[in-house]
Amino acid sequence: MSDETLYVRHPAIAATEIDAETFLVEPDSGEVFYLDEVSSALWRFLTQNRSRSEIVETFTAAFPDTAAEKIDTDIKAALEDMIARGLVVVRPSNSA
Amino acid sequence: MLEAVDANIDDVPDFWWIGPDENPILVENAEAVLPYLPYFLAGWDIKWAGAAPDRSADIRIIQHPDGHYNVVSSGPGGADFSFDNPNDAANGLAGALISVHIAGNPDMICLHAGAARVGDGLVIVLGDSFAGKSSVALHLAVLGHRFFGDDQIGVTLDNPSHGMCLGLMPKVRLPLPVDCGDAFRQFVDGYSAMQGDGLAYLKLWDGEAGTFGEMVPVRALVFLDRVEARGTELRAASRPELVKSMISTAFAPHISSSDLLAGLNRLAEGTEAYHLRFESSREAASLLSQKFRSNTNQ
Repeated sequence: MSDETLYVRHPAIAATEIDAETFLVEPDSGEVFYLDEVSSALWRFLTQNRSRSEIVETFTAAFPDTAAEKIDTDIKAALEDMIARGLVVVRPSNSA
Repeated sequence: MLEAVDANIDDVPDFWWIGPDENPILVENAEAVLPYLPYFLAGWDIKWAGAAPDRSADIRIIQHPDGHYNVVSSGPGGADFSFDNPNDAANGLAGALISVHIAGNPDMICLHAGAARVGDGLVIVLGDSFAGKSSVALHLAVLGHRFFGDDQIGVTLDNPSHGMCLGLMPKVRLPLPVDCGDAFRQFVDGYSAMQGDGLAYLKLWDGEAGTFGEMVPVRALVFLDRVEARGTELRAASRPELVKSMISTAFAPHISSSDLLAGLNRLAEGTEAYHLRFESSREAASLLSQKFRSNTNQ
């Protein structure tokens, strides 16, 4: 993954918030996903195209007690997982 | 290669209406299996539908020359299961009837659960296989609460939600645990209608158990967690926990995932949910009885 790459929610995914926790429904398969704390925060942040560096910077500011390296690692893992499941899509940087 | 044949001598299969008058299920070629059905399912009306009904069957039973059977259901969640004998095929037919019945009701799902009426509402116990669902529900019956269902419970996606008795006969694994208590042992001995393959199928008297189609408000959903040597503890489950657990286990092939999620959220809004950690089913049932036998929240 390059920092130049941009990430955004898949527009067809339906989200339901239950007591601040997020469930997503993939419309083609009907599969339901439950997001953990990191993925849930990431989903809420990806309402528009975001670069990974922008995501990490925002999360580092939001969670000052957590090491930046851990946030970077967690965000990378969460993005890879959500892309693999079709919940987040990748856009070239010039589409921002 | 085996060739499928019909069970009837005249090679013309009979059809049967099974279930409620307003929404019966059409079953083809059930003659060889029907005598065994009462061991597994109670309260479902059965009527002969002739040899040429005006629509296709919801469930087909195929009897093979070597004595094994296939029970084939159609519609959402339809399946094709094979059985070695008519008794097991009747068990399969019971499951297929429940699946077709649930799939025909857009407001209802089916939970893999046991249930008893405690106080003014249903306590539904859920969990993985061997979690103790049947055992805890039957121990509640031994304590005097009305047994409502074993293995499959219909539940409406409402607030408040109602449970529907599906009429499956309760069963317990044999041998009984050594710590089940004399009252439970006598209960199982007294109500056993059939035993085999390590299971006892029980037939309760009318009035002691819910009847097919009976609806009762859901008081609580309890997720069972059997743990050795850790005592008995009941703790509240959050709404997301409840939805997460149910969405992966509910039988709801007729409802879209989005609608199911929304429906479970409605159900969760109006239903208490708990995790029950326990070692002994008897003690688990005793705790649930104490907690819910009052008609008010404690």
